[in-house]
Amino acid sequence: MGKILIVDDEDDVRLSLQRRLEREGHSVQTAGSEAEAVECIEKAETPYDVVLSDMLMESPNSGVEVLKATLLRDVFTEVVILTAYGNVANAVECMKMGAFDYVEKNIPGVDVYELICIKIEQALERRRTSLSTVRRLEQFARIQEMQNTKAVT
Amino acid sequence: MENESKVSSSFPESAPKAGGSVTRGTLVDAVLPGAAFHPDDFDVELSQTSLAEADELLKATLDEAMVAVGGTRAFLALVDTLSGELVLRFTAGDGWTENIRRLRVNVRAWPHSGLINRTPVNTTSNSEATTPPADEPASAPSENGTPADLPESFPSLASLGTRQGITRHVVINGRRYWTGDVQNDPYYIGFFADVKSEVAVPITARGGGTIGVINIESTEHNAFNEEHANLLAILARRAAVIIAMAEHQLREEALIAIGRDFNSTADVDTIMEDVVQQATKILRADDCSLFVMDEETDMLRLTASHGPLHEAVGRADVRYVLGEGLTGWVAQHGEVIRVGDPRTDPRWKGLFEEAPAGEVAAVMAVPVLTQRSKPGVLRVVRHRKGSLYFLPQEFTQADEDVLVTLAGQLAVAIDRTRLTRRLLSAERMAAWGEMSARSAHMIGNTVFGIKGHLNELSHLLQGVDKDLEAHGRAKPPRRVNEHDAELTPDPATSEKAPHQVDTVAFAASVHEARLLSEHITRGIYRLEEILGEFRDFVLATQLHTTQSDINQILRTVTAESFPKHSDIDLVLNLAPKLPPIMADEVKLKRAFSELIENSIDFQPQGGMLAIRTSLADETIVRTSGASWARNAARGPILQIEFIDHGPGLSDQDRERVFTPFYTRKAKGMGLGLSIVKGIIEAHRGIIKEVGDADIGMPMGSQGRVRGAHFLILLPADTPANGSNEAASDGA
Repeated sequence: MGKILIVDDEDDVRLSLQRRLEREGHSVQTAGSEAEAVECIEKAETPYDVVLSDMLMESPNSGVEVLKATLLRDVFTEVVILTAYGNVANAVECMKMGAFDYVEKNIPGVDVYELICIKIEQALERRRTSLSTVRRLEQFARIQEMQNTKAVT
Repeated sequence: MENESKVSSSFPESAPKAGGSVTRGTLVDAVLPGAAFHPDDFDVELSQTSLAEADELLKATLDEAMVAVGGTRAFLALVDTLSGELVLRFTAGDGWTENIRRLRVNVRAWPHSGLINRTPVNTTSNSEATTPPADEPASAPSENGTPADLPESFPSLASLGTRQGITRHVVINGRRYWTGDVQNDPYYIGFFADVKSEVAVPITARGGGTIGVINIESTEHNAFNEEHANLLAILARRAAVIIAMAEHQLREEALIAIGRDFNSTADVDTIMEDVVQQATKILRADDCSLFVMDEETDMLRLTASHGPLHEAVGRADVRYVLGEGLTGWVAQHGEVIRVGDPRTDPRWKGLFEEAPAGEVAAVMAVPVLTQRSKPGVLRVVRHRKGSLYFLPQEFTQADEDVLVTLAGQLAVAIDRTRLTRRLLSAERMAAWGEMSARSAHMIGNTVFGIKGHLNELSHLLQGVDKDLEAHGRAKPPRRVNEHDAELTPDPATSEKAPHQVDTVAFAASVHEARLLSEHITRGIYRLEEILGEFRDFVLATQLHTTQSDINQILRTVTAESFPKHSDIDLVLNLAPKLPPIMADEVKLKRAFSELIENSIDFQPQGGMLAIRTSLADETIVRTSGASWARNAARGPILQIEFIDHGPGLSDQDRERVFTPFYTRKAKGMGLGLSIVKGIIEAHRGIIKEVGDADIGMPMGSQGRVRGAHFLILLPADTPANGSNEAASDGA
């Protein structure tokens, strides 16, 4: 299970998302603003696996700032953006900048919490894949290096 | 006439000044050039300098005149153009009394008939001596039917009763006159016993009409000759210039002051009312009316009037079609009309007049050029006045300049008011939209949080329920009904130990709580649905447009929204090579899919939905009522139709179906079609439900179709259609 940061300025949203994700077995921390989130991301001992951030907080672009801070800390941390229903322009912008996906908060007739859980699972999966790819590349590089050294000697 | 009393009452006020050698009623007290208008008539503050200066100059001119020709008594009289009276303005010499001054020159005080029907039949031999030279610059107006070159006539037997007075004679004929023996003069009427000779010269306006007279008397016989008359004529010309300049200055000041007033008056109706009142006064007119272009009907509507037509202001039947009559002509061509008797003009139709046609002596109409496509018309009229026939009644170039200036100020005021109104309403709309969007966002966030809590709650309750069942201690009681579940304890369990009874009650409560949480969840889901609709409604007019192909949008939207397997046949009939439109594709798709869903919902047993595009027919466009419908310079208009075989709409529904919160369906807020309308209108288009009205049904063998028929018109993206406005209008 993953290490997750929830960023939202609405207390109820943070609380219910934390409960739900902990129930799913994740280790969850929360931040109530863009600034707090950036601080958490920079100071965390190990990088978060997934950051789930609201788009509109202090500024309409808060989500973008959280995404930037996240990728600066660990380029393989996945970011899922929460956005108001029908207001996806900024969220799509985040996708272009490397966010994993976005979720609209008030989709009529849909249990968005369920949707979020699925997105988080998928994001964790991609992070695992990415990390293992990197590990294999590193291994490959090491082997090549060893062979090169043999060839020289 | 109201001015009559005003003029005559000004004399007692100036009476105390009679002590000096020259007495005068001032121009400030009276008016220019006669009693045409008074500074007090304007509800504005006028500088009185120009009038006081003119007074000084005229008084000096009269003094000079008396000295120059060696007279003993003198006066200067001016015509009051409203009352038709000659009014004594300045006197010089001794012996003037209030009574003499009043009667001395008053045209009205004398029999009218003698004035008009004077027939100079008895031309005598001595007429040559007193007939002015042929090169006399002043010419009598021909209006009254008296030829300008008519020789002076001297009735052989003239009793005092039929004499008209030398002053009046001069004014009427516009020629100078002198006599060396007043007792035997056919015109002279005596006021002073000692007078023997008299000379009088007309004061002639630039237009040729006589506006006053300078009169000098002498106690000597044969005191004056042609030389004296020539001298006086020069001074009379100077007086005319002084008067013209004072009048000009007064008009200018009045215009400036009125302009200032306009700027501080927000209410355009008040300004319009002011303009017709002030134009009447400044132009010495008898009436003034304002017609404003009604954009929707392309007709000139009476908006303000000074006189009898005032009653008709706002009446629907008082209107001019563009190009109809003199007024319609001015609006159509944007040019000024200046005519005398309007009946002589071929364009004249005499539809709505300030006075019967025969009584109108002059008409002037100027366009009020606002920023709208077609101008309004401001028109003034002068009535025919019997006693004034010797005065020029037609409007002059100077009059035209004044009216054009007034019309210009009015146009600015109208445009400014319109702009202010639009800005205010746009700001209000923007603020409302902003507030609504923010509220929707905050409510959405809160609802989202509550939804999460509810999820957790039901999860908890589910867990407890399972625990209880797993321990087999209690079964959830059978509920009597969903809303009011009652406990129906099993008699077996109720006899068990107390702690077991508690467990049963607890299990029941848990079950109850689960039901309640389900209700709340349903409510929250419904709330979210309403919120979604509300947001769509609010955001419908905020567009992000790109150049788009309407057919492509329709293809995409039918592919996305129309069910793959359906009992409803979809017929796409898209005209090729349609011009592009500026569209927010997301919003437009939303509108179209709403129409598609609507059609599907109303054909549960299956049916047909036809969607077709074309270039809109000219007659359909012109009768559409859209803002661009009657704009001759507009570009092509696209037509999109949604036609189905559903139940259609009743006439009542047809009107209400686009209003918010009106729905025939159980679901949602009833904003669906009002959102569609909002989106279409934000694209500067219009949408209507035309029922089975026959506008070229495509259904072939079906003939008339009874289902719903939505007709959408959207302007193509061409410069003529003002493509850039689409986005800004909606914002």
